[in-house]
Amino acid sequence: MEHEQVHRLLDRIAVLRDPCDLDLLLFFVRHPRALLSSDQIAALLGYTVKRLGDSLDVLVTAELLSRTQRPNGIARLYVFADGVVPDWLSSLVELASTRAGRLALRNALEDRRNGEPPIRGSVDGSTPTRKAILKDSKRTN
Amino acid sequence: MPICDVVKTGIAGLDTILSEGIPRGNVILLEGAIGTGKTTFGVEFVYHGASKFDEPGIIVLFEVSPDKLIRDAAGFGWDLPALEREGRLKIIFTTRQVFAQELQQADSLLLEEAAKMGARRLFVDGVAGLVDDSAPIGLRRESREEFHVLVEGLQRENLTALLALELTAEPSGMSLPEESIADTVIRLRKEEIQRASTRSLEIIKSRGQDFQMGRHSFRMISNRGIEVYRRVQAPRRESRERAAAFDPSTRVTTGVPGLDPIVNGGYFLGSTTVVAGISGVGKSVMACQYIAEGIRLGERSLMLSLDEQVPQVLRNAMSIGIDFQPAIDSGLVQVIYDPPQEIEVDQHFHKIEQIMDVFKPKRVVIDSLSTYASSLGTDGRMFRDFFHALVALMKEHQVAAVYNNENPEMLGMSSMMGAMRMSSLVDNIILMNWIELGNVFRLGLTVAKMRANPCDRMTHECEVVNGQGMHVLERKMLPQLPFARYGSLLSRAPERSMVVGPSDENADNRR
Repeated sequence: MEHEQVHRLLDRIAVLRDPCDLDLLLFFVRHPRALLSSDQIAALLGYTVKRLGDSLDVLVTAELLSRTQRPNGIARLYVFADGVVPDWLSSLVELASTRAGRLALRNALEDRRNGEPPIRGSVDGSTPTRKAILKDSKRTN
Repeated sequence: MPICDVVKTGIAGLDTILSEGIPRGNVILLEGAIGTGKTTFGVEFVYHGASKFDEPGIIVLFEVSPDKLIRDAAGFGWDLPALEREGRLKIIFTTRQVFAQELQQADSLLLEEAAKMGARRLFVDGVAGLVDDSAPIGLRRESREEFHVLVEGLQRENLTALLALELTAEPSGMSLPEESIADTVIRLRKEEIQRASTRSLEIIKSRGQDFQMGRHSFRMISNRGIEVYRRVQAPRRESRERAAAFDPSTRVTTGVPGLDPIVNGGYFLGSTTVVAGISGVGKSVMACQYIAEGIRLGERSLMLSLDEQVPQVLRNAMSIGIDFQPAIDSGLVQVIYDPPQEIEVDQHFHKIEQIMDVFKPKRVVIDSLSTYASSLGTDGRMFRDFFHALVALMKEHQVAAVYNNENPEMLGMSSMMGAMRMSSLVDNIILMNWIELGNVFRLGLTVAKMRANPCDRMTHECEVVNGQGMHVLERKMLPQLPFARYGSLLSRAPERSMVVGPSDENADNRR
């Protein structure tokens, strides 16, 4: 896929800012209902707990992920895209299904983190909500 | 044993073995080595519950990704995402550590999910590791207690739980702690026979119900799922056990000109006839004529061939002027070929049972018994048990069944059924022999046994004519000399006696 196409897809998704966000999103695509602690997810994906916690917050804020926790439990129940599936998801999964595609996405995210143009719809740096993402994806389509 | 409330597994053939299902609330341990089909079994159990029996379910996974599980299930025709969308299925990915803790907590998120969706079934894929199984079997008190805690948590929620346990070795002697605590234990095996692999399933125990013991075969079939085949030796319907009651009057004609008068007008319904002879002697020709006679009389007829594929059977029939195709097209005849190599006897027998139940033939030809014998072996019990079951099945359906049997002896026969030693189970035996006269092999037919019927035990000459098939030549009976005219009667080579008594002279005068 062309570099430009990868950036166009990331523009549509808007919510992803870091390679960890991407890996976490793809993890929840494969495991849409997971009963795990953040430590366990971090270990599975190979990130620090702090980094992973930030990515979890990104997905939760974007309303792509819901999480439930009981007071004394070590694990939370994470449910991904419960009900509404973003229309860009299949394109993302298809692109990330190859090593080359996944590396292109990661590199594009690294570029953006290192000063590339800001993500459309998040000028102030806050994470866009799912409503905003869906609205944005309609516009780009 | 009466059962109040059972959970049907929905797995084809399994509920019959389990007396219609498993008592509700039983904790089921599904054990087996890697690759025996535990995950498929568990997913099918939950899938059928949610899709057929209005019993929502949860699948708990530890290592397998849900997306792979969904992909693999689709291969069996199970649409798991559709059930998820309808709220009848949840697939939860977790770790053993979290799962073990969850079941002990009153406010468990997992059990809360189960309660929210009204789950009645739970499948946990891989409970090994929930307990410490590294300790020697005799010292596993701690792990036994841990498993007990798990089971208590499941029972509290009134879930019928299926827990898959991976075995690294076949348990011998002392049972595993999990087996003692579980209510139902099902063991899956993959068995190596020669260079082939077959799968089997055994109910080790099941509290609160009767079940059929022993190892039953099963297969995993694309777009269908698991099919369990009761072992061929397992008892069937009572009616089959009582199936020796013959219709004492109806006879089924053979279709071979000249043969019916020798066999008293035909074979009885429900009878078992073996036609024995060396290869090429005309057994399959007789079989084709038997089926053709069924067509002529409008009787449903089945030919099950293990030696020749269907086109070959049809071609051979055409060579003696018989065209099966119109009768096949009209549904009056079925010609079925099942390859004998690596035959799975339970599955094969199940297939015949299905045909008998649905097609309900009056005539059946099995070509040949000797192929079964060479596939299953005649040393052990398998062949004998299979043949017993087959005979009982045919009798239950009041079928006049003819079995071809290849006898290796070219001239004469020293036993009626060779190594099979099954002649006591057979009602009628027809021996086909080459007889060398001058420098010509001529064909002889002898009715060696006709149970509950008179038979002359004379050898009759037969001919197979191209385009016409076989017929038995007429033979006039000559007056027989009394035994007194012979010597060495028990020697297998009696000789005419040279001493002539008065009564013998009278006999000679009569001729």
